Formats: sequence, C-alpha cells, structure tokens
Amino acid sequence: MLNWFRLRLRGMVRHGALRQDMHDEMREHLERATDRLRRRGLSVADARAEARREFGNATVIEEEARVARRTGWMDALRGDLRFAARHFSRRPLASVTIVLVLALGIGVNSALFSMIQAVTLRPAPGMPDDRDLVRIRGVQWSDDQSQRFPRRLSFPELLQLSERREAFARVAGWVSDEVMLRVGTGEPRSVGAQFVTPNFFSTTGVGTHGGPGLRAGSLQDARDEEMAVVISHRLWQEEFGGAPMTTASLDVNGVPLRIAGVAPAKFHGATPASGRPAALWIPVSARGAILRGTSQALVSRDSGIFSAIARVAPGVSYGQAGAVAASIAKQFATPASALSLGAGAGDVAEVRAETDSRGRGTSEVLRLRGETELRADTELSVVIAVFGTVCLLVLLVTCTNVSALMVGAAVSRRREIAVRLSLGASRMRLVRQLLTESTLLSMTGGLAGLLLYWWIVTLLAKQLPSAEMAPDVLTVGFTMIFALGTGLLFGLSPALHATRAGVAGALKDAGSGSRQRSRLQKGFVIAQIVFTQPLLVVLAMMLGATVGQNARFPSERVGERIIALRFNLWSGYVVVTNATGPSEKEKLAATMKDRIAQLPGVERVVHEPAATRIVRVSVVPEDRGNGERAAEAKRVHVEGTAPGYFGMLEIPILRGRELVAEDSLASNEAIVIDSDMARELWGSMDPVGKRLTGVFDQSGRAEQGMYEVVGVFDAAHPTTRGTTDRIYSARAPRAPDQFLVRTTGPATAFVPALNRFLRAEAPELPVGRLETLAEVGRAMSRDAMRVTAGSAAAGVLALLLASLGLYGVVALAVGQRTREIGVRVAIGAKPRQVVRMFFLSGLKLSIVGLGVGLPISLAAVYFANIQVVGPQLDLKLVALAVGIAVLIVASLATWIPARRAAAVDPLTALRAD
Amino acid sequence: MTKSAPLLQGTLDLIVLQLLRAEPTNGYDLALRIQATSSQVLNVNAGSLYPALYRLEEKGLIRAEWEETPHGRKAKVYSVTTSGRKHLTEQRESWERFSAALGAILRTT
Repeated sequence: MLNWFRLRLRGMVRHGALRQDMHDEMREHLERATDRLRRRGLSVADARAEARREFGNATVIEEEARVARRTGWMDALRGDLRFAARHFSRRPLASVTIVLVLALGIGVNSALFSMIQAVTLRPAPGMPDDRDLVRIRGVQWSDDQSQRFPRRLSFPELLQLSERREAFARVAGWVSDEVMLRVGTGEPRSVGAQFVTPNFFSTTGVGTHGGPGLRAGSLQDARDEEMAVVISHRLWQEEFGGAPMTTASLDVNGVPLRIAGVAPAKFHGATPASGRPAALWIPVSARGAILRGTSQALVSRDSGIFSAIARVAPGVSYGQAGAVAASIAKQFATPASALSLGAGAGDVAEVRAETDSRGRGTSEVLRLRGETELRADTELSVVIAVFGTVCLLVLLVTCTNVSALMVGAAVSRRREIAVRLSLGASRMRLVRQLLTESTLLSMTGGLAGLLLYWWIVTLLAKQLPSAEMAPDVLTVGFTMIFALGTGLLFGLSPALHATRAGVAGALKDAGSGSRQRSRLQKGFVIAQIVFTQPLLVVLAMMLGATVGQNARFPSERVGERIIALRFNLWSGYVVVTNATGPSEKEKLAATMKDRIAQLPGVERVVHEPAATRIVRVSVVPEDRGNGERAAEAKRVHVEGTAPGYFGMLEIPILRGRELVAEDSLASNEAIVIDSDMARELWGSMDPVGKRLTGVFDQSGRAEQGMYEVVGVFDAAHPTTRGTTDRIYSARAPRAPDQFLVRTTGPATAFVPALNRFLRAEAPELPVGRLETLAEVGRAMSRDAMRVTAGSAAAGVLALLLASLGLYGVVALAVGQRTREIGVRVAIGAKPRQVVRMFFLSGLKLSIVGLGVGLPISLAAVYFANIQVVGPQLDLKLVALAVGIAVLIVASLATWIPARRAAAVDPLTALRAD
Repeated sequence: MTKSAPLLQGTLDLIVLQLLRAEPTNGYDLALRIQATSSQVLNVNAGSLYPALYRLEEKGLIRAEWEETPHGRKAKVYSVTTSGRKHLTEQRESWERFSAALGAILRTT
C-alpha cells in the first residue's frame, strides 16, 4: 500500500523523469538488440532497422506503458488544459463574462456575509472573543406586556449581582456621558466618556499602555476616588501625536485628570458604539466631581444609570446566569412617581416607561458580541433580514448568470463535440474535457472573486471602525463552493446532454439548436430579471432611507446659526414630576437659558423638543377625513416643544400656525403635525382644527387626552427630532437640559464665548455638548454618506452583474442564430428588421421577468418599509424607477449583440456554423 | 526461428514473475530468457513486455533499479518484491489447478 502510494506520488511529481526513464530503458533495449544483430553479421544500418522492426512501434509502446503506469490521466489533463486555454482565447467575450460574473458574485456576496457577521457575531472592536464575557441587559416591560424598553442598572443592583459568585465571577459597569474635553490651552470640545467601575478593564481583558492604567480594584472599591483617565488611541494620536506620555493631564469639564494610559487602537468600549464613540474612560468615583454632583448615584437604588458586563462563573450557562440576573432585577423596582431622564437620551418617554411599571423589570444575560443594546438588536434583525435577502438574491443572480452562460457556451459547441465523437473520442473523454474547462473558468472566477472580496473587506474595515471586519475563510469557502458548484453543475449537464445527442443530427443541425435549448435560455433571461429586480428595489430602499436620514438636519444655512447646548444635569436621573418640583440644577438650567437669551449676539433660545410619552392616537370620528389610515389608531411620540421652535429652525408651516405660548393653556392640547401624517389621516382635507384622542399610561393607569391640530409643517423640512410619527405639543414636558441657541451671526464663532460664559457663571452646571447644528449635521452626513456610497456601489454592482449576465445570454443566443440571420438577410431582410426582431423578443422576455418579479419586489418593499425606521418611500415610484432601469439595461444588453449580428455579411454568416 | 505460439491471456505476468524470481534482470535479457527457456516457443515482443513490467511495478509486485551491467552499461534491473513472491505462489497454484483440469478434460474421449 505504501509502495503504491509512493509510486503514485512519484508518478505525479516526477512525471517527466519517469518518461525519460522509460525512454532510456527502451533505447538500451534497442542498442543491445542492434549489437546482437550486428554480431550476426548485419551492417549497422540493417541491424538497427531490424532491431526497430523487432521492437515494434516505440511510441505505441510508450503510450501503452504509460497507461500501465496510470500516468495517462496527467497527459490527458495537460492536453485538456491546453485545449481549454486555446478555446477561451478564441472566445474571450464569453469567458471573460463568466469570470467577471463569478468574481463579482463571490466577492460581493462574501463581503456582505462578512459584514453581517461583523455586526452579529464578533465582539466590539478591540474586545476579546471570549465565551465567558456576557452583557447583563436590563429590560423593562410595558404595562400591557407588549413592549420592551431598555433599563439601566443601579449600582446596588450591580453589587448584588457580583455577590452571586455561583453565577458571575466578575461584574463591571459603566455610565456613558458627554463631557467637554480640553487639552492644554486648546478650545474645549464635546466627546463621549465612559465612567467605569474599577474592575472594568480587568473584566473586559483589555489592556492599556503608555501608563500604569486606572487603579485596579473590585466593584466595591468604586467609591475610592481616583482622578485619572484612560484615553482612546485616536485621541492620543490626534492630541499627543502618539508620543509617549509622562505626566500629561487633561481637563474634563474643568476638572484636571491625570492620564493613566492609552486604550488599544480599535477599542471604543465593551459594546459597539452607537452614536459618539467613547474617547475617555474615567473611574466612576470621579463622576461626581466632573458632573458637579454627589456620589449619591453609587448609593441610590433608584439611580439606574449603569450598563453592565460580567464574566460568568466557570461552567455556568447563559440561561442559569440569566435566571440569577432576572431574580435580582425583580427586587429593583423603581418608584412609579418618578420620571427619569436617561443619560444622554432624548426620548424621555422610553425611559419613563421603564420606571412607570413597578416590578416589571427583568434582566437578560447574553454573550458579549455583536449588538447587545435592546433597541439596537431589534433594528439589527431588520438589517440582517435585509442584507440576508440581498445576499440570497446576489447568489441567485450569480448562479443564474453562470448557468446561463455555461449552458450557452456548451450548447454552441455541439458541432465540435459531434466532430470529436465521430472521430472516435470516448464520451468520458469529452465530458472530462468540458469539465476541465468549467473548472478552469470557475477557478479563475473564484480567484478573482477572492481578490475582490479582500479589497472590499479592507476598504470597509477602514470606513467602518465601529465594526470589527476581518476576512473570513468560512464565508469565502461557502460562497465559493456555491458558485463553483453551479459552474461545474451547469458545465457538466450540457456536456452530458451534448455528448448524448446523435452525431449525425448534431453535425447536420450544427449550432441552430433545438427548441428545448431556446426555452431554457428564455427561462434564464426571465429568472435573471426576476431576481435582479427585488435586489435593486431593496438597495434603492436602503439608499432612500439613508438619504432621507441624512436630510434629517436643517440646512447648512440654518444650522450655521444654531448651537445645540446640553447640560450634564446630575446623574441622568432627574425627578421632573410636580410632586417634587424641579431640582436646583433644573432651576439653574432654566435661569441660564434666560441669561443666554440676554447675551449680545443671541437671537433666541428654545428648548430642544423631547419625546415625553408614547400615545396611541386616533381621529375623533366626526373629524375623520379621507386619508388612507383615517380610521386606524396610531402610536406616536409626543414631543414637548417650545413655542417658536419651528420658526427658529425656519421649518415652513404649510397650514395653520406654529405653536404659541398660549397653547399650553387651551382646553384641547394643541399640536403641530407633519404633512405626511396629515395626508395619511386626513387625505386632501384640511387637518387644522381636527381632533385626536390619545391613550397613554400614567403611573400604571390608562389616561386619555384630547389633541387638536393647529398647524402642519412641511415634512420635507425635518425637525431636529426626525420626522416619523411625532406630534409636537407645547403642553407636554420638555427636556430640562437641552437647548437650541440661535445667534445673530455665524454660530461657530460664538461657541467658545458661550462656553466661557457658562463656565464662569454656572460652574456647578457642566456642559456636555456645545456645537453648531451644522457640525452635528456634518458628522451625521459623513456616516450617512458612507452607508449611501456603500449601497449605491452595491446597487451598481448588482446592475452590472445583471447586465453582464443578460448581455452574455443574449449575445450567445444571437451568435447561435448567425446562420438564420444570414438566411434572413440573404433573402432580403433589412438589418434594421433583424435588430428589431431580436430587440423585441429580448424586450418581451424582460417584461415577462419584470411582471413575475413584481410581487417579490413588492413584498420586499412592504417588508422593508414597515421595518426600516425612516422616511417612507413611495412604492410606486421605486417600482417604476427600478422597472425602467432594468428595462434600459435589458434593452441595451439585447440591442448591442443584435446590432452586431445584423451587421454580419450574409455570406460569412451562412458559411459559419 | 520457430513459429511462436500466442500467449495465453494473463500468463505473461506469471512468466515474468517466475523468471525474475529466479534471477533479477533487465527487460532485454528477460525477453531473451523467455525465448530461451520456452525453447523458442514463446516469443514476447517489447510491445507486450514493457507495459507488463510497468503494470507489475505499479502493482508493487516487482521493483526496478538502475544498475551497472558487466558490460559497463547502465540497465534497469527488475526484481520480485515480497508481495510479488506471494502473488506468484498463489498464481502458480491456481495455474497448476487449471492446467491439471484442462489436461484432464483434454485426455478424455
């Protein structure tokens, strides 16, 4: 057995040497025979001739010997490969098309897969991929159990969790805030900061460099004060040029902090960043000093401010750990009278729901990878669904293309195959030849696809630092097997088919093809369009959604004159109900608002709206209009809005008027809605003066409210709060700590002055964010641009893929009918008629494909539209645009080969097979 | 030269193995030896001999080595391997049974 293997190996490796060996041996034989014959008295020439005669045909013997050695297949393979290469160079168009289609399909699909994987299965950048690391996620159910809201944990809850050693080996937490960072004598700027428990870095397993790091300790040591900070790698590069740090310090909200180290390059927190990535990690004990509060937050059971991670105890399952966490969560019910304002959250309503329902809180334990935020992971499932569909469609389009091209290519060679069969080639031999060719093509395509994939992934990794993208062997392997498998399968089936056909029939009927083939090709063209259409529709929707979100901010002109100001009201847990009245800090914030308004250069200061509750509204029956959803109940956010807000942002009021101060006194709550909602509920009727009833939870009781529309603003000019499903009320509570400041001149120049003023006049009220709306908008549009560019590129690639396939299929079909075209032209058909014939039949197929694909596209649109949060797209418009785009591409793909065919000289065409 | 008898299917391997077991030798000498030992009855030409040799080598029944011949030439010398020997014994037994049976049939009538 070993010997057999050795010989086989030698046969493969030393193929040439063996051949030489054989040659030598036979020459030796001949020489000795010649000697023998010469000794018998023959002349040299005669002896040699006689020896040769005796020996027989040396070439035949060598061939037989090779068969005996079983190295014949290698020669055959070599021949096949040579033949294949010659064949491809004779038909560069078809070959290049197949390779391109495969490369695009494999590259794009694998890249999409990797992206899904990066956001679902990989830990946040810089975090270790560790089974024991988990997120403890607080969840709050709404009263009717229909909705889940995120719930932050209090420090006492963290402590209790850490005491359950049977479930958790370590528990760590952090609080996210925005702070004003100042390096040296530079201008302060807003950055994201995470206030971490002393065991944060040891729990995550992330090491810091360039300094001693934060003081390590257990969760219980969280109150031991330490004024230090770990900075992000990016900040280190930007502010310190990556130079080694000795005794540098930073100023955060006016508090000096010693730099204790630098985080690893990609690290920006234990979970993927949503919004502003953290640049600072500060011990939670310093939070009181920085945000000008007390360390009450570390004592109070009510201060739900922490996000938590943990290491589960060895051998403990996520389910067991989750049960422990849930049982502890039950004990931490929050008082119903309080309304809390999540740290850095604008949506008070969602935080409110957390606290309203006593005892409905729970906790979940899930592995720390991908998105672990409650809201983010529901959005994520949408993203996965959308991207998954896109992946599937790309794969289908690729496979359809490859099979169509392969079948076309093989069928067009029926004559050649017939000739070879009649010359005595065995069927096996021919099938092997065709198989070699498809393998060669598939391999080349696969290799090119791999390169493309590599390129896309490296590009994405650079563009999306918030997700850990890395090339993945499994993904590539899967896609490759699929695409190559298709190539081989469809390379093989026509090979079998073609070799089975009668030789005589194929020779006589060369190339004109059977009806069966043309049906198959028609099927391919239709399938192609059926799959491409929804793909394009989905991509167009994504594009529309990102462009729409991009337009969420006011124009540059307005944004350049408005500053967004946010105070760090202590703790992110603020009691705003009348029972306790506004806190001292809130009163101060309100005073500062008035004082800012008095400053020279300031035109006006208003509260930034905040969603204070979610209400189910329905139109009062007698006010019902003719809108599409006139009779339906609708969930909306009620935005507590300052009078004059729309005027300040220069948002056009289409009907009625803007909110005024008196609105807070009227018997019905006055609201302003956007034009989309107005159309949806009232159609062409004027909604001003119409009423809505609303039901909402108030401390666990269902309360009713009556709203009256006083104005409609243009949805094309979005507010700072996004456009969908929001009603703006002057009576609803506003966020006490967020303001918009409109300046008389350019706002950018005013920012430093405003910051100095606030620091001097209200040092106990730290500023978390101070930047112009234009800056905020630009940062958002940068992100949006990336996504937009990404989906646009994917759309173009999909279109390219589809048109390549279409073009290839049609071109092959036309090529096969060259003789027919020749006959037609010879008996008097004009080239234009020929072109029209092909063009029309291609168009007919495209329209059939569009018709069949339409339901799929509509389903995709419907699904994406109800899931994707953002501006709703006009279904008809999208379908129409995509339909037209597909038709144009299909027409071009048919027209070019048809024209080429018609331009052929009839004599040449008739002579051609 | 006497007329050579046609070789029975499958017997060439047996002949080659038997002769090579007696003495390892090269292809040319083997051909001569077959002629000589069969008293010029069997004439194996190169066209059958070499493929047979390669087939046997491929099966691992014989092995080949280049050796210096007494005439100062290099020649490829074949010898029987252990498994070749075993194979030969088996084949010889079955051949003997077969020829005995055939002989018995031919002696009837």
